[in-house]
Amino acid sequence: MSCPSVTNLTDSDLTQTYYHESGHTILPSASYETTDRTIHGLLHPSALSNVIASFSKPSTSQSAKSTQRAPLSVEDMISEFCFYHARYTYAIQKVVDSLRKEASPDALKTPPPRSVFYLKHAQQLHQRLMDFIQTVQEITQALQNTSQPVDPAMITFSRDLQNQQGKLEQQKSVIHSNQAPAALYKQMVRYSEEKKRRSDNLLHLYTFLNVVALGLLVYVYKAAE
Amino acid sequence: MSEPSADTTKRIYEMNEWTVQNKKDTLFVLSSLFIALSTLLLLTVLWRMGISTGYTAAIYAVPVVIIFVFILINRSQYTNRIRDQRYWNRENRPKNVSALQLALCPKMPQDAQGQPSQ
Repeated sequence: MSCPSVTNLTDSDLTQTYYHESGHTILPSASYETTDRTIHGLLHPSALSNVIASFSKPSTSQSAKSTQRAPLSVEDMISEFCFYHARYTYAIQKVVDSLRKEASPDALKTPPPRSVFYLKHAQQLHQRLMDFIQTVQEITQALQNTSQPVDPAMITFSRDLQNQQGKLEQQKSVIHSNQAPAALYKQMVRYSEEKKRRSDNLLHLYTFLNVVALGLLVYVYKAAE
Repeated sequence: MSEPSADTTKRIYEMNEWTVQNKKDTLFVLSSLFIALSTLLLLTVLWRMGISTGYTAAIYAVPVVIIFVFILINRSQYTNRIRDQRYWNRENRPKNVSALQLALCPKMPQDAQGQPSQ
């Protein structure tokens, strides 16, 4: 699963919720309450079972022609995941950009740190992505427990989400910590050290090339005498 | 040992960024040197093979050497004298206060100041 890159996002898109014409989405438009969560921030099993039960209930939507909810396709789920993932990526990029600007002389001209604003949105979107992954995995589990065959695309999607979950768990320790700017600066320091090593390698390469060129020049010049 | 604060980490990031930019600048000088040496090598080979005369080779070689020396001096002087030692993209031009001083104007008569005569 690979989400298409979205480049035309703005700050107002950060608060948008996913809308599908069928009216069915994995995540509700409003975030889950804290009572629906465990102490680790994960969705409580009872909240998850309510979500799964809601998928089998008759539709209350006036626009739906059938009385039963149309089953969500894997494409719809990917589309919803990519919707939130694109906004999360945008928020993280903006956090890093803001921190970089705050480490420049221009930061004095912009006293309210924008990084705090973007970090708040990144935390919310991270939570939504984690909720999405948890819900989809629970749905896949519920489908596998039934006697009906499960769509292989659904199993592949669930496996891809598991990989994404690993990455998001790593990022969680950085963006949800009380010292988020310090943790992000630490990551930026690691990145700048990587750039330093890359520059060092290029310097060594050019030094070697220059020595070779100079040696050849001296050799050809001496041969001319 | 306690974790470094956000300010300390920010400062380390600034220093690393400055060093990376300095290395890139050095890389620019080294690549210029490589181009200059390669050109000189080509000219020497042409001269050695008898395709061009020593005079023609020198005519082309001298500007190449001059350009490289100019790049070297310019980069080194700019970084040492004008470039800010904390932020790579900031300039610290030497303040020439005397050049900005305005010419001394003769004093206006007291009655002529701000009161146009009727």
